Amino acid sequence: MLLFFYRLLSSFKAQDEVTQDMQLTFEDARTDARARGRLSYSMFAVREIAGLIGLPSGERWWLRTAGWGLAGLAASWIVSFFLPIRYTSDATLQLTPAIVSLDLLPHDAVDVEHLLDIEKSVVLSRGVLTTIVDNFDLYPNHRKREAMDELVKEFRKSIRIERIGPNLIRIAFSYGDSRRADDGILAQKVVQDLDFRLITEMLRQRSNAAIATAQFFRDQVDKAGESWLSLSATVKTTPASDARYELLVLERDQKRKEYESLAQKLGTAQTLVDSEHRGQGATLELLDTASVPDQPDTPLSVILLAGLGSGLIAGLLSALWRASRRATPDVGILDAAEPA
Amino acid sequence: MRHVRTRHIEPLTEPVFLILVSLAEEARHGYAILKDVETLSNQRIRMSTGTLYGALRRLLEDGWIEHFQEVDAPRGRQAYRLTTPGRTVLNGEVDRMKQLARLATSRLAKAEA
Repeated sequence: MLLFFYRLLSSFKAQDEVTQDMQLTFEDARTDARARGRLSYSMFAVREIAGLIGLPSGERWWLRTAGWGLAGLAASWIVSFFLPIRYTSDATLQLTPAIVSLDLLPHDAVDVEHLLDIEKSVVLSRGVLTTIVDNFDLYPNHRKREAMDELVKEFRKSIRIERIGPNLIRIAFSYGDSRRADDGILAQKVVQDLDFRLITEMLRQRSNAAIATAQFFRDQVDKAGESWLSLSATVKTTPASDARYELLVLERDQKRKEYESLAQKLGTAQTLVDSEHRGQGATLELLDTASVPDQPDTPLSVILLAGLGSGLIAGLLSALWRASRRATPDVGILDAAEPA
Repeated sequence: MRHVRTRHIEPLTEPVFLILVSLAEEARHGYAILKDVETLSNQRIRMSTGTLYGALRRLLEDGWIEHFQEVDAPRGRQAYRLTTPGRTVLNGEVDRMKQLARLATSRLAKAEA
């Protein structure tokens, strides 16, 4: 690792015989440091990298850098009190095909994308979201200063309903208001509620669609049947010698075929209605229940680590800046001409 | 006529002074200079290779030292030696330090007397 970084950093220097020689010397020094033990090797590694990026070896730059790091740590700790703490709960739903064998059941493929579009529009509607906000008393602090419309918009943004596989749907909700762990439990309750709404919404929609389809074909069958019967009666009362007779027979046969075809479709639609009523149609099932987030989305440790890292980087940059300001060569000199 | 920097107006920093002292005795390669500087400073100054070669590069540019490839040196290792201008600068620095030491000694002697 050290060798890699050393080569990487030295690649920014002029590639001449002096740099090549420096790398050879580094390898000798590294072997020597390794033989002296782990602590010595660690100190050697820090000294070498610092030396390559131009930090002065004689100064206690690392002490100043550590100070900056601690300052960054303290600053991030203070900042953490002002950052919103959000908890995310998620659940996975699976679209299960009909229980009855597909060979026996009429073709009834369910497109997940299409289903999602319809369900999202219903579940994420203003009315539903307002109900959820009221039911769970969400955003008590925001409610004091924001209108319900704004709150609902924010709520909607915090919900993600997305397809994560051929038949899988993920629901996630990110919530933070009171800066307490209770927010995590509330997030879980909301996801449970959304699960339930999505599942029942799908059942309701499919059941309604099946009933409406069956009703449509029933009307069509009735109409075609009446037409067929009427034509049959006309044919019976018309003598075979009549010029219209053949035409009427042809028309009657066509109506009969139409009636039979529509009756078959009605049968299929009725099967779907029965299947939906029995709960044997395609359904959404809960694959993973809503999780209880025990850690906020951005844990305190990450915030502190970011602060420490930023402080250390700032400290290093500061040390480099000081070194560059003092970069007048270690050797202060006047130009002079060497006598020939 | 080669343009060479020969006279310094500010004191040399300790690491550079010790590098020059190390090379005053004999030509050395980089790692030997590192070890010698440690010895000369009683282990007080431990330079990184980056710092050492930064200083060596400046000294080469100033013409105070020169490098050459030692006979039988492994993998093209370079050795460094003091040039005449470099030796002059080192002598000048030593004189300056001697003068300062004399001055300090005489002041101390006066104060004690």
